[in-house]
Amino acid sequence: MGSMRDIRRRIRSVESTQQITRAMNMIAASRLRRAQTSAETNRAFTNAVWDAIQEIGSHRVSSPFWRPREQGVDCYIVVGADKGLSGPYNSNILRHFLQSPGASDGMHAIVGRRLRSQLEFRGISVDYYEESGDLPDPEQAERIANHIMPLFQSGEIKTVTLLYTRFFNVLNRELQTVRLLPLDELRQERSRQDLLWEPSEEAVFERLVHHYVTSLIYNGLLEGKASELSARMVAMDAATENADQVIKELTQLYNRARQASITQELAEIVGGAEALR
Amino acid sequence: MAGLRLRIVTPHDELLDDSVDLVILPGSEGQLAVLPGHIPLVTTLKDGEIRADKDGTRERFFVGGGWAKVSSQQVIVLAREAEAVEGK
Repeated sequence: MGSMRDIRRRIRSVESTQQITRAMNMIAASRLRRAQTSAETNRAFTNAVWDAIQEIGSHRVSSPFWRPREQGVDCYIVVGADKGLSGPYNSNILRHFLQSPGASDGMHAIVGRRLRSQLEFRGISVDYYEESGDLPDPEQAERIANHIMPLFQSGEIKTVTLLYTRFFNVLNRELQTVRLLPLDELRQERSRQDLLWEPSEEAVFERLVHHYVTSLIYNGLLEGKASELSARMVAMDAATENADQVIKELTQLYNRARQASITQELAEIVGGAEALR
Repeated sequence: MAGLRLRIVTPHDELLDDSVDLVILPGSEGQLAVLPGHIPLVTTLKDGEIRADKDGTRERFFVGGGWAKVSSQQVIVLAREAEAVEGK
């Protein structure tokens, strides 16, 4: 029976797909743990840099890093994924980005192969591109910062905004928009204390801001990666379950077809015997 | 008598958080020894070696691309990379 063989072949194919989705689920789960730990350790660094900027910033309100500007274009750093198969992760960040002011004619740094191809398809130019990779690397953040900081200092860019997906837990993720430059207003004015600067206030402050921007980008990469992996986990879990369901239905169909063929054969034998009599 | 808190933090990890007696930093304007009670100071660091003395033993760390914030009780070193140096 042709149809029986077809059904068996389909069951086998769904089973092998299920093996893949199950494997992807487990890979995502183990990588997620690593991304989470890295995100936590990086938070200590970012906090320390931010504290220092706050404290020092009250001495240096005149720095160009603080002042809003009129000239220049907007720059978005958007953190997406290299691959799909992660539910709505990519499309959410894409939609969020497209709705942001100045998205269509700015200079943007894009992370993730898939996100880049989607933007190019929509005719949005990508100024800088970085692959998302297996696990975020501080070097990636460093490269992005090295690309953007000179553009900001030369005045080509007036704002730098980081878009990423913050990871809370496996079921909870939230899109985040963080303004990196110019620096926000100080939350509180610290008491002025005398500070020594080596080599000079400008040089130290520039290094500080660089560290600050880099560590926030790195943090965005880590959170984004954790979100991507958790979204993939959920999507693959649903796919594995769905495959179970499909296999069950196909098995039922297969049994029914087998029973039908047996019944038909019996009917033929009985009919043949009847005719011989 | 350890009176100075030394922290070395990088994006990867917090390498050290300990009380020490003396810290020698590779400041961009030259080496810098910090004892408890130092006046507040912010400095960028050259790529080089940090030495920390505690109870007569010396620990050494390599830092790259960093800066340090010194206050009277605490030294925070923030660096792109840092690594403990093994051996003498």
